[in-house]
Order: sequence, then structure tokens, then C-alpha cells
Amino acid sequence: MFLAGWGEFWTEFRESKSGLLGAGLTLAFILASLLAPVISPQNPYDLTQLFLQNSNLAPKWIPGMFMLGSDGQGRDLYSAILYGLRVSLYVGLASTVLSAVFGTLVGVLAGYMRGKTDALIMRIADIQLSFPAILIALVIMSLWGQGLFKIIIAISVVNWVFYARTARGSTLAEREKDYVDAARAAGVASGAIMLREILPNIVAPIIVIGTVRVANSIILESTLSFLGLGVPITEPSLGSLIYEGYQVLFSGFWWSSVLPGLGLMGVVLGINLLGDRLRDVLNPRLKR
Amino acid sequence: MLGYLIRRILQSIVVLLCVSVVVFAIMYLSGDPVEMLLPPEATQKQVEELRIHLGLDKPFHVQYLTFLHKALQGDLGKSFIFNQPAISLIVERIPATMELAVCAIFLAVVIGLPAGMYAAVRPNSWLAKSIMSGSLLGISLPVFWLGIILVLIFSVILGWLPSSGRGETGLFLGMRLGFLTIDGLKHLILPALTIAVFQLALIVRLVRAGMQEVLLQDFVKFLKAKGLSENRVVYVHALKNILIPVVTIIGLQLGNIIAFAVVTESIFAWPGMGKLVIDSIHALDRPVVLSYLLIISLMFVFLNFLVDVVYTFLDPRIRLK
Amino acid sequence: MNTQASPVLKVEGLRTHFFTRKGVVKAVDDVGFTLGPGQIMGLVGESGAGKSITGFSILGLIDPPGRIVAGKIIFQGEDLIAKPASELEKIRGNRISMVFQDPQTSLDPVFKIGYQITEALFVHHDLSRAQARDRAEQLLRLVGIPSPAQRLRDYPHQFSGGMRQRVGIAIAMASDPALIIADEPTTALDVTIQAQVLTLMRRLVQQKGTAMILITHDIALVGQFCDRIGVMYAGRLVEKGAKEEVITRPLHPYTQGLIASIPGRQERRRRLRQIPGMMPNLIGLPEGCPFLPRCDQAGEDCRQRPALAEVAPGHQVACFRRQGR
Repeated sequence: MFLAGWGEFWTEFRESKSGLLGAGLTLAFILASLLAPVISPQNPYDLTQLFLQNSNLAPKWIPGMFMLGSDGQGRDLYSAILYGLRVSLYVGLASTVLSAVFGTLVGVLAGYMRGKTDALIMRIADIQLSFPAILIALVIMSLWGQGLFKIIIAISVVNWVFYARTARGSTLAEREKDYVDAARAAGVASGAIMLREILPNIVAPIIVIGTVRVANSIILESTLSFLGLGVPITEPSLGSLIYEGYQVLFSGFWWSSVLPGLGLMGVVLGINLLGDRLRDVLNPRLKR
Repeated sequence: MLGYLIRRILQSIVVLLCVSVVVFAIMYLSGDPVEMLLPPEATQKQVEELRIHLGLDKPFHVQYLTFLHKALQGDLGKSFIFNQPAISLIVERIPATMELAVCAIFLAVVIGLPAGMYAAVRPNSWLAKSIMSGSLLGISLPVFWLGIILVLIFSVILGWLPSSGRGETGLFLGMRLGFLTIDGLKHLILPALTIAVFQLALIVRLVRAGMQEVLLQDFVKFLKAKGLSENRVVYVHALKNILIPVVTIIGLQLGNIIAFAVVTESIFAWPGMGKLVIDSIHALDRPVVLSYLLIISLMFVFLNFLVDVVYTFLDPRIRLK
Repeated sequence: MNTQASPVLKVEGLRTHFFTRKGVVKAVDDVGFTLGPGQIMGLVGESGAGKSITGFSILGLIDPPGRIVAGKIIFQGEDLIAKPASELEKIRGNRISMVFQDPQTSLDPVFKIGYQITEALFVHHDLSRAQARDRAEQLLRLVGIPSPAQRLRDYPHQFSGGMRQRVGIAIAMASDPALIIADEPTTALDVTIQAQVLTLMRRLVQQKGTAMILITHDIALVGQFCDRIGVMYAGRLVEKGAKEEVITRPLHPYTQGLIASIPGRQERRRRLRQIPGMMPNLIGLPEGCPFLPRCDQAGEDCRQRPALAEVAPGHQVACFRRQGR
């Protein structure tokens, strides 16, 4: 049902320049991170390629080695940013998928079952929502210590609530519709109704929330990594790079904190633009 | 109304109890503090004695009740690092964090509310478009990176503003506050700005969305049909309608800012709760971390309570008998 | 009815179009009528026929992407279309006022009723606070709201639907307007309350000599409460005339269909009729008569657009079948 309107969706989507810019930016960053081993001049994790005499070189601004300068360990900054982008995007997308699947299922369950199940799930969600995301993630990470998988879980714990609430709201509206009654009258089992009838009809709002949450997750991850509570130092994300760069900011080596930050901002901005546009196109309420 | 207040207070207490269980469980699960307390050369017998002395040999629920009992008396243990009561370490630093948070939200509201309204009323003007682009940029800027950029520009390059600490503070109602002195104000600008930018962008977007929604409603047309000027419709009627959600957001965002202070305070070496807790996490100073969590939970629960109560006062539709 | 003397409102060739992404919607396309003091004119048609847009056009409350592209709206001798926005503000709610369809949503939920009534008074008149309050109380009494002094301090949600609509009427009456536009004022109300509210409106209008346009989809209602009828279809007036004429001798096939679909009329034993088909999409409307696809009396000539023409004294219809062609 969602894909049937694909042509119409695209016609409308491409009307906004900022939406196209967002989609383009997002795509470009994803491609760059996927192709990082191919397009970066250096493998920043390979210690045999690093030489201390190359540390803190200023950007040369010409393609090739040290185009964007180097960090304190003599690492090519451009390569480090591409690899950091990989980690950031990976954490952002993985945690989004994880929390979207879990949150949506829980939300559909709450909305479809109503009653006590609903009350309990929404009560938990409400309590969790009254605490800032960063605090919850901070508690989990301070307990577990750094780790790639750990931070994905921590961010997913933060985010499931948003999907659960959206999915529940949409399910409550959908379950009153005729097609659900018809399925129920035909004796279709509750589980099948939820998964096969309702779920496909609430995909649009979930996608809109999901896009916005990816951007949020990437920022949350980089913030935690900046505080030293995110990804491990062996797999630095953009946040870890910025932290390292910040240590040498006062020595005048501005590039190693500013440039990774620009990359981070670019990818988040791209996703936000895309998300804004998706919301406008998929939300029938604001349409003229 | 009174019934509602009582119910709401009871709810808050239940939430706080839940939080205390979670916080205690974290402490319980995260290992044996005895190793931290005793020198490494301590004998097995000394370890056992201390465990019994601290009540660590008892089952979970007994330990929890003991913990709760002490917590209610304001005793959350001593900091391993500072060797002072953890709770007083936190409380001492509340004014610094609050000062930062209040300044930031003040900036954000004073600029964000009119900007968001303008963007909703004249969506096609170039100014509205720049406001919206700016706000999108604002929510896409990672807060810590913005802080770094501000430090780079105003401290490293221009040398206008200090980049760390609170500077000179004055005494006000028994609290040390920075905005009373010129030096303190200078120290306040960069960290407050760092926090405010994101909040500002958020408020602009929320206000615009809320305003657009209100302006589509029937009563707006009816007000115009009454002969009210557009200004009156927007700045009296629509404004009061969106003020309800905006006040809620401000309350909730204040909580968010206090939590987010861990980031800003780390960058600017601002001596508030956030910096203390990050330092304590890295130093494994568990009592301080736990005290922080409990105190900050208390603050959030209180803020939420306050927001709900204010909400019922502002919105006549949910005012209860 | 003597409409020649000095009409309160004269609409000529009004065209209000909406310039949407998908094309131009000719929501109101060449509509004209005249209304004398104390007269009630019923504007009937399906939703989307352009009745409400006609009403909003008169008040100058068309929001983008809509725009009045042609026509004249002569109100008490002045053309409203030519007036600047600031002049229109002085007329709205003062000399022309409006009652809205849904009393649930037409009052601002977060202001007290008293504020909302006096606000309209302050905008147009130089009154003291006490005077405005007294007038508001008097207005609530006029529309039959019990204990008005206390109710001024209540919020809209504390009123029932019918009572809320009475408040809406009180606000519309506040400045003794010369013209009231009532846009489906009773559609959202229970049937019994519908009659109460309409009777009240008619009484008030007749007392003060106010002209009124009653916009509705319910032709039976028009038959009971109006003096004149205009039937709209796809943005155009297809028939207009005195109530008795149009109700007893409907000429346009669409009007005939509407009247045949009223339950419980003279020919009781006949089956309730429905007009087959739906109103056409207003984008890219074909040249000819808009009713053509649904008409059972159409001929070849209907591929051209029929204009309104008088076929009986004071009774005009836009249909070639009735114009003797």
C-alpha cells in the first residue's frame, strides 16, 4: 500500500530543493563511508603507516595525503574522518533499526490489545520520557564502559519509546477501520492482524520518526564518544575524533576538531533535511 | 483540583521509588565497593569483616531498604576521591549548573518565540525562510562541537572571552552566582550560548509548527470575521493557544539542559554538577554518580510535576472540578 | 419582495479561484445575486459547490492560494473588492458578520466567552469596560442563554453545542450588522436544537431588519426559513428565485433532484430519489453545463455553458431545457 504511491511520492518529493539536497547529502555520506577503504589515502588503523614526524600537519587543501592535515599521531585526517563516519553511521543506523523494530512491535501490541498491556507499556514509556535521553544513555554507558555493541544497545534503549508511542497512536486509529473488523470477523488471528493488516498501514509515520531519530542517534553517539563514554578508542567515531582534536585546540591545531565536526554536521543536516521533507510529503494533514 | 494535585504527588513519589530501585540495582550489580575501600594488601579476613560491617552480606531487598532509609536522611555515602559526603558535593554545584541552564533557556525563549511566530505567519518571506534554515542548522549542530567552534573563535582567535571556569562570582541569596560580576558574565556568555543555540532552534520549530496548526483552525477565521486585525488574532489569540504547549516544552527542556550540562560543562570546565559527574564516572567515584542520579531524578520529577500543574492552570479545558 | 429599492448586498459576476499545485480550482465562477434588507437568502448545494467560498469572498476572507479574480460585491453602495484590507476590517464583525458551522471549533478555546464577545465590541465601538460587559450580557439574554451574567465567565467547552452556537450568534449580532452570513449554522446540532436556533435567528433578523445569507446543503431548511433561494452547483448559480417559486416549481434538473430527495414531501408513496453520480472535479471542468454528466434531460446543446436567464417573473435558471431552446 505504501509502495503503490511511489511514483506520486517521488513527484511530490522532488519539488523541494532542500529535500533533494538532504537526500543527496545523505546518500553522498553513506557512499563515502561505504567506500572509505577505497577512497581514503591511508588506513588510519594501520599503525605501520603512521609516523610521528607527520603529527599535527596543517591541511594542504590539495587531494592526496594530508589534504585535511593530520592529527596528533600523524594520521591523515581525511582518512580518519571517512572511517569515523563509518562508525558513526553504523551506530546510528543499527540502533535505529533495532529500536524501530522493537518499539513498533511493542507499540502495535499496546494499541491493539489496549487495556492493561497498553497501560503498562505506556506507563513505562512515560516515565522513561520524563528523563532526558542523554542521561539514560550516560547511566548505561557509565555502567558498562565503552563498546560498539554497548552503545548501539544504549541508544536503542533511549529510542524505542518514540516508535512505541507513534505506532500505538496509529494502531489505535487503524484498528477502528473496516478492514480490521473484516479480518477479525473472518477469524484471522490477532497476531496476523497486527503484523499483516495493521503494520503495513502505519509504516509512513514510523519512517518519518525513524529519519529524525537517525540524526538524533548519531549526535547522541558522538556526544557520548566525546565524553569518553561511547565507542572504544580502537574504533573512533567522529565524536572521538573531535575529542582528540579538542585536546590540541589551544595549541592552534584547529583542523583536527573543526573538520570532523563539519563532517558530523553535514551528515546530520542531510538526514534532518530529508526527514523534514519526508514528514511534509507523508503527512496528509499539512497538504493543501 | 486538590484531588488532582494529591494524585499527581503520589504519582511522583511512585516514580521516584522506581528510580531509586533502578539506581540501587545499578549499584548492586556494578560490583563490590569493598575493593575500592580497602588497600590492595588487605587480608581476606579484613574484606569479610568490612562486608559484614557494610551489610553487603545481606540479601538485595534488605540492602535496598537500608539504602532507602539512609537516602531519606540525606546520607548517600562519601566520595572516594574527595572524602566528603557525596550529596553535599552535588548540592554545592547546583547553583552553577542552574545559572547556566536558566540563562540559556531565557535566551532561547526570548529569541525563539517571536522568531517562530514570525516564521509561521509569513512563511514565504525571505526572513522566515532564513529563520527556518537557521533552525535546521541549529538542531543539526552537535552541541559539543558548537562549543568548540565558539571557543576557537572567541577565545583562541579573537581572545575576547574566557573559555574555562566561572570567573569571579558574587553572593546572592547564599548562592555563588556569576552574572553579578563583569568577569562572571564574560565567563557565562560562551557556555550559555552553546546550550541556547540548540534550544533556540528547537523552540523556533515547535512554535512555528504549533502556530501553523492554530492558524488553520476555524476559530481563527471566526476571529477575523469579527473584524479583529491580523496582529490581534496572532499576538493575542494564537499566542495564548500555543503558549500552553510552549510552557510545557520550556519546563521539559530545562530538565534536558540540566542533563546536557555534562557536555557543556566538560568543554568549558564549568564547575557544575555535570562536570563533577563526568569526572566521577571516569574516576569510578560511585557514591557521587549515584547521588547525582538521585538528585537529578528528583529535579526532573519535580519539574514534570510543576509543568503538569502549570498546564492545568493555563488550559481551561483540562481544569478539573 | 421589493429588491429594487436599495439592496443591502449586490454581488455581480463573482469569481474566486484557487491556484493550487494541481491546477486552478474555480471554486466560485460567475455568481451574482441581490439581497434586500430583512431578506433571508438560502444558498443551497452539495459540499464543494462554492457556497462557503461565496460567503468568505463577501467578507474578504479568502486565504492564499485563493483569490477573487473578478466581480463586484456592492455592500450598501460600496464595492468591497476595491477596498483595502484595513477598511474591510472595519466592516467585518461590524456591518457584516458571520456565524460558523461548527460551534465546537469556532470559538477560541482558551478565552472566556465574555472576553470573546466584548473583544468584538471594543474593536468597533468606543465603549467603557462596564458598558461592554452590560452589552455582552444583554446579547446573551437576547439569544436565550440563561443566567448570562455568570456565563460570561465560562469557557466555550463549558457550553453545550446548541448554547455555543447561540454564543456565536450573539457575537455576530453584537454590532447590529446589516448583513449576516450564516455558514451551515445548524449542521453540527441535533435536529430539535436546529429548529430552535434557526427560529431564533429568523426572529432576530426580522426584528432588526438585517439581511441574511443562509448557507446550507439542506434544501428543506431553506424552504422553511428563507425568502429567496439560490442553488449552486460546481461553483455556479444554476437556479435562483423566490422561495415558493423554486420549491414548488423547481426548473433545473439538479434542483428537481434535490427537492425529490427530501424525505416526507407531498408524494409520500414515491420512493426517495437520489441524484446519481457525483459533482465533477473542479479542476479542468469541461466547457459545457457542469451538471451534464448527471443529467437525465441533457441534449447536444448542453455542451455549451448555459447562462442564467429569467423564465418566469423573478425566477432564473441556467438550463437550455427550460429556456425554450
